[in-house]
Amino acid sequence: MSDRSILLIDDDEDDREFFLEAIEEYNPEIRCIEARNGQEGLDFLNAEKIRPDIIFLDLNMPLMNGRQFLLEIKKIDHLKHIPIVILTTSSDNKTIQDCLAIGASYFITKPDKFSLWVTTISDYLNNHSFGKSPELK
Amino acid sequence: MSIEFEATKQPYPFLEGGGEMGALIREYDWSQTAIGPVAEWPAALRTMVGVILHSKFPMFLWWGDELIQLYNDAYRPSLGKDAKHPKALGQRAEDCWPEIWDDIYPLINQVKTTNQSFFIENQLLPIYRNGHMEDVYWTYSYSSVIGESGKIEGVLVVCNETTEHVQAIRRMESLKNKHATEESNLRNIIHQAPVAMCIFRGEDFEVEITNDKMLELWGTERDLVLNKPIFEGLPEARDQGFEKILRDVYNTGETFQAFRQPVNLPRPGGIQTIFINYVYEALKDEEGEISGIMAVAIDVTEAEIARKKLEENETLLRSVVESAPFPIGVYTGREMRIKLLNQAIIDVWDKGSDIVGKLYSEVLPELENQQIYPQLEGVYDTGKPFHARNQRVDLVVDGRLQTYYFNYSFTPLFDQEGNVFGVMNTAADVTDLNIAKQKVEQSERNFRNMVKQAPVAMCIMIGPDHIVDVANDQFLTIWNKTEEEVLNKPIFQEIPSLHSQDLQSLLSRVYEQGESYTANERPVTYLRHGKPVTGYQNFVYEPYKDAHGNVLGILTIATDVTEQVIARHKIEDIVAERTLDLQKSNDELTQFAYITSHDLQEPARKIKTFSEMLEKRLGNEIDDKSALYVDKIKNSSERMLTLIRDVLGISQLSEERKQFSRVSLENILDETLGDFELMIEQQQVNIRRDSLPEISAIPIQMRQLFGNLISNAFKFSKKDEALELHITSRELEKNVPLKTELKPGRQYVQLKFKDNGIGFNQNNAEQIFNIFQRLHGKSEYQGTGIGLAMCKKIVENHSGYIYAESSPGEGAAFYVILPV
Repeated sequence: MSDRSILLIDDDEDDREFFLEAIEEYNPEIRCIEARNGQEGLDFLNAEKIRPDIIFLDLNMPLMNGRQFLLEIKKIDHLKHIPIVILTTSSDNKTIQDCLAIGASYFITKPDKFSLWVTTISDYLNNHSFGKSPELK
Repeated sequence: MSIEFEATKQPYPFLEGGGEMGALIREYDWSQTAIGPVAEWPAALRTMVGVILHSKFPMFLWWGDELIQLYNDAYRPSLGKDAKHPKALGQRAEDCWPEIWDDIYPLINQVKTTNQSFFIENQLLPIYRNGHMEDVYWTYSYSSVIGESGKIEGVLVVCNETTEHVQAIRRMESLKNKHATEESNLRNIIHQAPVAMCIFRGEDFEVEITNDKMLELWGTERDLVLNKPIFEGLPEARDQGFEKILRDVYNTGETFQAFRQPVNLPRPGGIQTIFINYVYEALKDEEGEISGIMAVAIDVTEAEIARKKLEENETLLRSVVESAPFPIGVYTGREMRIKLLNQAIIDVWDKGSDIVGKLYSEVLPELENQQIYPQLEGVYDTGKPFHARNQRVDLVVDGRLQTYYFNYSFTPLFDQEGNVFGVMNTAADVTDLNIAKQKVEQSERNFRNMVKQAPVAMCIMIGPDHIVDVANDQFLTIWNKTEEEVLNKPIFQEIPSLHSQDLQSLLSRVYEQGESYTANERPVTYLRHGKPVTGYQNFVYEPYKDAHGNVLGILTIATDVTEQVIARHKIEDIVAERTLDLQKSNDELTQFAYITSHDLQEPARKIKTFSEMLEKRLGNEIDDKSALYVDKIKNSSERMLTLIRDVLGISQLSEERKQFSRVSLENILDETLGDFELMIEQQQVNIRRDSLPEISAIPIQMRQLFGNLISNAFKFSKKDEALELHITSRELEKNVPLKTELKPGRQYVQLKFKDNGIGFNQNNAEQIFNIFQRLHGKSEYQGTGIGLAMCKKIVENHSGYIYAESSPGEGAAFYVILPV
């Protein structure tokens, strides 16, 4: 059992499906927790006292959008160091820069192809010690 | 009385001859006297009478005791006329001389008794003669006549009346006294004379006496000239002709006088020309010999200068008058005798030039009954000038009476005593002006009529107070006034509601600066039924000038455009509202396009992803047909996604407008061609390119522009021919005629993307830039139909222009014109 966990905050069920599938392909051991908006994500983090290793965050969401979430979590001392990867349909440079400015670690535009989902997420996780290394399994 | 005597035979020869007295003695009846008839006269008596009668010396004889008197012709005048002669003849002395008897009897008696003769010279013995007592002087002797008896029988008086002689002497003496007095007086006179006087004595003209005035005139000191010949004492006076004149006077005794004679004499500061009036008068001594010359002189230099000035002035005046371009005449006396005329007045009168010296009325009889004579007389009598303007004067010119108009003045001329001696007539022929004036007045009337009848509101306001001079009905309607209410009144006084609307200051500015003012659709508020009503007017304030360009007032032309303005305002409001709506809906549309395309791309992306996942999950288990369907779903979703993203791109262009910077098109082209590197290599594309300039642009849009154009060339390249792409650039010259979309005078660069592709019909050259416009089937050539629309949008964003030239099969050229 891997002790690695990822929090995915996205209101789009399909995109959550693509993401989970892609993670499944990358490493089925990784625990993936889902939240449907920023508020749910925050609530989860506060209630469960689980600290995910990475948070993948959509921007366009109801109740609390990704940007608001980002701003909130950066106020919480024990959570603010968790790397946050923005995962959104937007590819607008302005938005990217904005998110990086307020603390996002990385920015991924949701790909058109499933294969690209897998490679993009894999590449990121590999680069951030989420590799399929034996000791992780 | 003269008596003719005939030489008659005398019985007594001693009585023969003797003139009148001879005759009287002969005729006298001596028998009645104490001496008795002649026949009895003693010889002594006879001898004495003979002597007396024949003597030319006055002689008188008393004879006998009674002193009977006898005398001769020479004596007779001493008795005067109609007095003692002829009664004295034969008369007793006592009877004859009662008035002097007391004086002479003692003398007679002394002679008779003592026989002593005596002689008295120049004794005054007044006698009665010539009807009155006369002072008569006598030099006489009384001597005794001794008869035969030795006794003194008579007394002979030989006398001579010396009255004239005495008187001559007296006169001479008196003259002598007088002369002495005169000489003394003369000296005094000379010294005290108010004029320069002196006496030159002798042939050398020694200055014997001179007064200070003369010294002053000579410009010398008394010591330098006194008792010296004048031309030695005053050498400056030499050689000016005075010596000869003095010499002539001295020689001839003829008085010489000269007036205003110039003479050069010393003055402080040098020799000056002095003008003198002077007289040289010969002085004669007692013997009548010329012994000197008295000179009297008056310095008339100032008067002379004044006179010369006067002459000059007069000459000047005359020349001024004569050369004056307007008529001038001078008439003297109440009868108005023409003294001076210039050519201008001679020309006006047309009465010939020989009229100076004639009477005004004589020369211009046609002015009778034209009030001019009384005017002239009035000026002469009152001394007050008379002026007439635009006065009609009928003159006979060219033989017929013609009408002229003159401005003329009759100015009184005063002599030194202040009395009017004449009249000066100046005139200006204003006939032409007057006719012009009448024409002007006519045109003024026409103009006013035009104003009155104009179909638009017109009025004229005069002067700085904008007094209504004329206003037509249209204007009265605007003002809501009757003509009587505003005519000849300051408009702002009559319509106070205009005050607060700057109209007065506008009018005043036009009036002061003389420049017209035009207002369009200006709101103007008037009171209507006591309530302010705002209307709109187009109006012109035009300065109303006289012939000399002086602003008299303002001509106002106004049109009420209230209805038009209100209607237009309504339209404008509607248009603004519509524009706003349109803008809004345009923005909404853009927003909509963005949102829809953004949201649309989600399901498309998912279809594509899911179909891929499905394909992957089915793996080899899928049958061919299903695999074909999955493939079609994948392609369709792919295509849909492309479309959506292009639309998204174009909708995003609007929002990126302002991010302009200096962009090197050269670099942009490099990058863009870099994107196409693989395709260029695979298809062996032949690219030729100029170096491109740097311009002000939105970088990303330039990249999109170039990308779309190059992509377009790839899409429509010929299947059987390698693509050739030729990219050139040139600067457009300023001020050449440009497409209407471009601004003249701005610097533009023209880029040309020329390919050797399939081309298109030039008829479709504009169509191709419309969104979703395709000339070819999808299957045949790729593309969403958005690329060129995007290019157009980008070029428009940059205030540029894009167009294409082509014909089918001949390739296409895309021209992009962008501001530098």
